[in-house]
Amino acid sequence: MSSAATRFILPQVLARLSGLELLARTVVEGFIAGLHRSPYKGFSVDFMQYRPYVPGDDLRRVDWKVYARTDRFLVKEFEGETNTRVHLVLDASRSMGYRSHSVSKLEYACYLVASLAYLAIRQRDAAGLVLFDDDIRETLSPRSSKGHLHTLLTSLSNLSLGTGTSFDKPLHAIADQQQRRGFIVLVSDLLSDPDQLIEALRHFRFSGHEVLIFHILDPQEVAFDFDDVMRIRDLETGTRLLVEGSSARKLYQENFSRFQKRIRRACGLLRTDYIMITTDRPLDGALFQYLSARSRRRT
Amino acid sequence: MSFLSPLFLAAASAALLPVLFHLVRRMRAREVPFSSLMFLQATPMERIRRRRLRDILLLALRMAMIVLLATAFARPYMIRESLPFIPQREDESVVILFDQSMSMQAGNTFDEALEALDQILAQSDGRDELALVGFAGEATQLVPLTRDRDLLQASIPALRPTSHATDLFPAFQLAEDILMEAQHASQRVVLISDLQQNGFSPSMAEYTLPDGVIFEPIKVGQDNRVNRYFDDFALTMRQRGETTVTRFDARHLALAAGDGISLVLGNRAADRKPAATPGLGSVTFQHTAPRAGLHQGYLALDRDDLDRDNRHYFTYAVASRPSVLAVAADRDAFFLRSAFALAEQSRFDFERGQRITGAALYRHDVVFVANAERLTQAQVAALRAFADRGGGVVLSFGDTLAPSDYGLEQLGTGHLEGVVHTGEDAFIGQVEAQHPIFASLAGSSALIRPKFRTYVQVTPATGSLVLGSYDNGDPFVIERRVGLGTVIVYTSSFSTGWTDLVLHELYVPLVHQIASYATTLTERPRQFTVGDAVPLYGTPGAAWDVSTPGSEVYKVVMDTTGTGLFRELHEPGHYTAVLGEDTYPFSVNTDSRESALTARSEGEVYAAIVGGIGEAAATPGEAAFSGEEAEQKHKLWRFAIIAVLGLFALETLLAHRNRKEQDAS
Repeated sequence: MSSAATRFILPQVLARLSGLELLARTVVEGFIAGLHRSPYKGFSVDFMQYRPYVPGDDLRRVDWKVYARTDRFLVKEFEGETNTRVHLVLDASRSMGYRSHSVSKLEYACYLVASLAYLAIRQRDAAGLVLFDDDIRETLSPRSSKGHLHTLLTSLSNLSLGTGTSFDKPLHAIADQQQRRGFIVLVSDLLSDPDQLIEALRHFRFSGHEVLIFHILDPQEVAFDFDDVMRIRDLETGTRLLVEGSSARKLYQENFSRFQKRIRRACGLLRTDYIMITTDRPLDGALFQYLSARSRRRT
Repeated sequence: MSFLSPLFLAAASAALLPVLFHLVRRMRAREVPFSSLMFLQATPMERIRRRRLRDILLLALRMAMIVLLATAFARPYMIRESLPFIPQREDESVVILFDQSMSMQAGNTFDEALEALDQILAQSDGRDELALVGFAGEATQLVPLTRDRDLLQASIPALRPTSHATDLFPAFQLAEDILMEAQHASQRVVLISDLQQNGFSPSMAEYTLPDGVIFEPIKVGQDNRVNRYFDDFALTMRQRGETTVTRFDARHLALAAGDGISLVLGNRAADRKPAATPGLGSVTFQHTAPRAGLHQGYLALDRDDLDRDNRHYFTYAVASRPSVLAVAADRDAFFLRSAFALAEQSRFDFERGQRITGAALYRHDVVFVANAERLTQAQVAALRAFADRGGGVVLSFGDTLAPSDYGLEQLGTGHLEGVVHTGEDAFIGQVEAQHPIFASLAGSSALIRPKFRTYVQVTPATGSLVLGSYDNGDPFVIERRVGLGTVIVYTSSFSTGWTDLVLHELYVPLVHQIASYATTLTERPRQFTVGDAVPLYGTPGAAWDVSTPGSEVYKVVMDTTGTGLFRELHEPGHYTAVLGEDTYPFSVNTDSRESALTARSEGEVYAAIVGGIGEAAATPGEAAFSGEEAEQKHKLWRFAIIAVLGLFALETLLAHRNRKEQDAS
């Protein structure tokens, strides 16, 4: 598969791949190969340097090819290696099950989290996973080993939809549990009380965490492109509402825009990166945003 | 409406799909799962109802487009040219010709005709003006052109079938007259009839409906209906001694062998015979009438669907011996008496009279005015009236009286030029061998023997007939029919002064033939057909009372010429006319041509009346145009496509407007 093609792999195509590991590798390798050909070289994650071997260094890290050419023992050193603990916080509430095309928000979020975990561990970051709905459902502490990546991806593979969304309890719990400063990546549709979210973000910042929010939305949740008279059922509460799509669209879009503005404004004030992404878009944009935020943190 | 490619109409069923889809969706609002309701509010019900109404309107428009499109591809055309294209329909002036002839009484034909009329009135546009004409032998405008449907409806119960024969010609003439007063340019003649062959008189063969007038025949009744009726009838009388034997010969149409044919005389069944075979056959009855006088009766067939023609009525008179009156000079009277009283078995009663008066003439059948004294104007008038009523007047000359006093001109026979004395004797040169007077004498050598030394020269008047002439060409015998009778002028004499005729063997037969011929004519016609006019004679101002089989009585007043016509022969049966002591019974029968129920098809009638378009056997619409021609002519598909485009524009407009409203809300 050519790198150029991989870079633009659509979520609908990724959904056909079996196994999140293959999916994550496909996405990330393709993405990185693309970056080398892209104008954004300054963000290369594989920047490495050599230093002279000192006793106690792992012999496996000696670059034997350089030794063969120069007769010098040089050890490969990765910048930022194991410096960052990336907490991938994934919303698994029932509303994440919505889909207007072949990929639901939860599936898309899983692809994204898997790719981020793969990328993080590839960079020697420790990646952890927290699944929540109205409470924390599962937690995997951050580690950087490939075996941990497998564990993490297995958890994602077995993921099922939970109940309603609440930011209050689970996000504060995460902030309390993670004493060491880290990189919190929240992947959610944010369809809950925005005040709770903002409070949680404030808590993260108070605890010294960098926070990146991936706001995952179905394209229909942005456009609300319904026309008929229909009875809309809330996936989380089961409540039904009789609406005429065409006349409800404007009100929906206004309310949604107001909601999004409020989140953006709060993120701006709390120096939190906010990225809205729809499930019909390729993942590379999200990865780029992640690296950009990760890079800022390092500097 | 028909279609050249009707299979395309199946595509119109596609219009049902949106309906089904709509109905399924309409049953219940679709339930749509959605991630959250936090940005939504319920839409007011009023708005939803409005939206559904708009949806239905759009649905109807879209269905109409599909149907019209399928219709356009099916290439529609109108079956009848007379059917107007609805979107461009013009107001019409319509004349309905309603057949009331006897044949319409067969079975349910008349009821079907009433239903057809009722249907036309019900389906007609309120802006059209309609006229109703009833016709059989003659046509009558029952309702003039009007938009008043109530007036037309009110006329229906009064419609009755008659016993008259059909004649379409006066009906179409009247329709044309009515349409000349029409208000609308679009004009139509609708014919409701059994389209019986008999209705197409020779006049109709030359008739064509005026250009621009649409013709629509509506046929009612069954085809090939068989009917019992009398096709021909003859009554002959033969004298056998003192009795008269009457023979009735009738040709009839029977439905089956064994159908009964009855002879009824007076009110008594006299005889009955079975038909030998089905179809046309003949039957003969004989009856001996010992007494002189008038006899009435009828022949009857068994009942059938059309009863009105199952009887043939007749009236006949068994006369006593004809009575001859001679008003003559002595010598002429001698020879006349000799001629009529030669034997005891003489067929005539002879009487010599001195004066000519109405009362004297009334008792006789023939009067010989032979070399008589001078005739006054009153006597000439009496002779004229006698002839009018069927009497025979025989005029002959002689030396007693100046011939100029005979009043030949008043009797209409001719102009008297003067007396001719021939130097050499004249002979009979030529006679009308076919005439009853000379039929038995023609070719006999007796005709050439009498010599005529003197005779009067008469120039025949127009309408007079020279029955014989002398060898020099001058008229010998002249006849002029006057009224029901005749005036015969013999230009020489019945005595020996002017001719030796009375001495020859020709004399007696000739005189008897003249008297017999004149007597035969005294028998008034007694057989008429429904629709005929019966001539009646009498003194000017006198009135006949005529009673009909329905016991109605009509008065017929004689005009200044002493003539009147009784025209009310509407029903078959026995009629009686009475004027003073004179009684004149006669019989009326239906026209046997009307009884033959052979009918034409609508296509034949259309072709005949519109003017030779199409095949005779085709239906009217097809007679005028084949389907393809009609489709080419009407090009209805263009209108369908235009309608589709119009609906499409309307649909776009409405949908766009809806969208704008939705966006605005």
